[in-house]
Amino acid sequence: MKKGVRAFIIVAVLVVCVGFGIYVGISRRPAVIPEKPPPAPPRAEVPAEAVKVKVYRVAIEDNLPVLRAIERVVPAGEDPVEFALRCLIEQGDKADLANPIPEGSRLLGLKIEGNLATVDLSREFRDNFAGGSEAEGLTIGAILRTLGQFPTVKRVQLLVEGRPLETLGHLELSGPQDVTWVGTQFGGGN
Amino acid sequence: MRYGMGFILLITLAVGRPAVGSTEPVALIVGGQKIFLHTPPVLMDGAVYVPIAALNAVGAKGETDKKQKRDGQKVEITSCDGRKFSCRARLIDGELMLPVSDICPELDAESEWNEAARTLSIRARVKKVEFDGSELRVVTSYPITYEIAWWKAANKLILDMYGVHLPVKQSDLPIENTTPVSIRTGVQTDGETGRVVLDMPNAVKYRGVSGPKTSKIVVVISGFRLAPEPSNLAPSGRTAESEQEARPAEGTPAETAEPPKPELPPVSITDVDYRKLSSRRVEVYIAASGPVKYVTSLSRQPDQLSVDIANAILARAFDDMPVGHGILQGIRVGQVGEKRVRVTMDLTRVAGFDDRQDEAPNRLVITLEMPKGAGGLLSDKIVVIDPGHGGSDTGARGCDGALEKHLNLTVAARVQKLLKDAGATALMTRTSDTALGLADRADYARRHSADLFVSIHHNASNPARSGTETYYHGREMSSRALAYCVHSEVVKVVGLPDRSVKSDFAMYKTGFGVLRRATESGIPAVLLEVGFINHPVDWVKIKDSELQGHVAEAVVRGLKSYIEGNHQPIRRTDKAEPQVDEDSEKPASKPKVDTPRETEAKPGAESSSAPQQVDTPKPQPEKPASTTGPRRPGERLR
Repeated sequence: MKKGVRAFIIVAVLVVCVGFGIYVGISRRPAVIPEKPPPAPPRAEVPAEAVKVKVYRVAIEDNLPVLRAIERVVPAGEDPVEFALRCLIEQGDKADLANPIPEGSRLLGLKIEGNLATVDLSREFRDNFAGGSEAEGLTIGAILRTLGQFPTVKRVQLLVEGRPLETLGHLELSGPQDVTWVGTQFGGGN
Repeated sequence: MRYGMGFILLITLAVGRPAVGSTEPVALIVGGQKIFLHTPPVLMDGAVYVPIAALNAVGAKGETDKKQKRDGQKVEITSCDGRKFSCRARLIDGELMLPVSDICPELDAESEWNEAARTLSIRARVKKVEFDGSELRVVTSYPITYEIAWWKAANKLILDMYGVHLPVKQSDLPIENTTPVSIRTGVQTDGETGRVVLDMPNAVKYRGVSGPKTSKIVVVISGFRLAPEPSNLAPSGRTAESEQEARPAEGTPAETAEPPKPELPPVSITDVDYRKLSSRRVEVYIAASGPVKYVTSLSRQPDQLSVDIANAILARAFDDMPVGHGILQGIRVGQVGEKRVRVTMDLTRVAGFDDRQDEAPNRLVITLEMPKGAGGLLSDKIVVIDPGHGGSDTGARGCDGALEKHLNLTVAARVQKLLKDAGATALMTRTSDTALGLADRADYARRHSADLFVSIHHNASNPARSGTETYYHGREMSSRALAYCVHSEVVKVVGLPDRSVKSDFAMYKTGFGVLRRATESGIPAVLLEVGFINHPVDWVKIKDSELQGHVAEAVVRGLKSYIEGNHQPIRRTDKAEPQVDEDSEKPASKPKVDTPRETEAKPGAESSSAPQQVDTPKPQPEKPASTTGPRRPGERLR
């Protein structure tokens, strides 16, 4: 009996260990983009004092749409990159300039690795896009200019619900996009 | 209490009683445009009811319990400025509908019923106009769209606001003006457009900084002088009727206000030469004393490539240069204005071309080449027509809710039929409403050994944007020539602002997917944007079946002239070709100049559009130097 109990305990311990190992393995498997980014990824240093970031919007100058920056103060303790992106995408502020980001878009995730910012957006970004090559240039341009102000970001990979965004109708967006690719017809970088 | 007796009476009539009276769908006009709604507004019992979604058009939002819809249900409404009020809805055909007569007073909006058109217009109230010399500010009761224009001949700044109500008497409108400038307001003949006119004492520069749709329009004005020059105060050319017509075409460089610029010394054009690189390619070199600003323009009938160099003078007299190359007949150089030099290259046929500016030595290099896919007859060629978008990719949405993908397919199918009638092999990347990737479209052309590729699109952007434009990829020379051929024909028939031929690099540094892929496969490719589907004027034109037929004919004429050259006049089958008047001063046969690329800007400058690149031509005619040779038909003296 004692041997049986001992064997049972050993088997049980083994099952628990193996199960825990599988659980740990699964939980450590790299997720595409989590619903909310982990709280402390080692990306930009969070400054002790609040700083200003640029958020790009659309202004009409001489009847031509151009990308112009508005400034927002980053609250203390917030990541400037994520704050700027949230200001742009989630349309949380009441800026006078028009926001070219489709309505209802939400930021699902942001990851910066090796100068590549991976931005995961909700499906509204693709589904609510109103169409038009010019509008597409402005929408993508606003994201690239907003992220391109940070020295840590040189390229941007756009995802929708975790999968690469192929296009909004005219531009090939499936791969990483260089932040300098914004067309000259939308004006300089302010 | 705010609802008053009318509201109480309406509640008495509406609450607790499902709608049983006859309903009639009507159209809703907001912002001067018909609003597309999945549930159309209805006229019932003498009142117009709109779905809750219609509130979006006036910047408001409505919230209610949509799971349990019932007649008389309360809808909580938040206006664009955050003010909250409630309204009782009627249940009509299973949808909660709001009475317009109740929501308009709360939103400070005006409504007007048009019995003949069966339309109800809702207009924002213009609440205030302010001008302090540096900013023009206009406040409306909810966000609207608008356009700003400068009438150069009369020094007027014109602000057109769409879908607004202005008081009949101007004195009833609060105008705060701290300057001597006269401010006038009025409603245009369409009844939907409110206009504010500032009679400025001098030319100014302006910039709209308030976004395309706003309730607080802000126009920043610079260069305004409180002590105007007496000569500029004279109301030269001001007439009441011309003001209505005076709003310049959008993007017309000549009508854009010019800021005072420091006068730079002109550069000297010291030499012009050429070199035959092969039987199909030749380069032209224009040497200058310094960096130059220039624009290129490829014109047809006859085929010429012009390079206009701003703020430049000739260092010496230049004789005409016969070249005798297969693509380039000769070169002429002349002074066509006090400080403007034109180098004209007479071509044997339309040519692919590229231009670049070398810094050391300072020179322009123009490369000309026989275009790919050209030569022979149209009937010998394989042309792939690509209707943009399709399937789940709907493209842009038109003013009536129509989808761009359908329009593209309609026009493309007509192009295909005309090409087949002309004997060409015409293939379509899609013939039904199916989704197709960008690479798949170009791959289809490659697999079918296409000679040429034309993608048909309709654009969308800021609601004030209007016009026709044609894109080619990057610096691809043959596609650039094809774009000129197609574009110059299409703008003639569409009649919208000419937004010119452009490189897709101006939009994005990798260009458009279909153009890049097709060009990389060696196929000259262009993308035509016929008009802006979300602009009311463009929309009326581009949805017209007759005009779609004319666009298709124009595309085919452009393809034919690219392939077969331009020696024989190309005539339309149904109508006489518009004849070019040899003595005309109108630049009708000259397509708008190519939008300068980044490489054309001076080092360090970033170009956005033509107006910043070149000086506006002087209005007074000037006789060209004799060395420029005979004026080409339709060319304007400058």
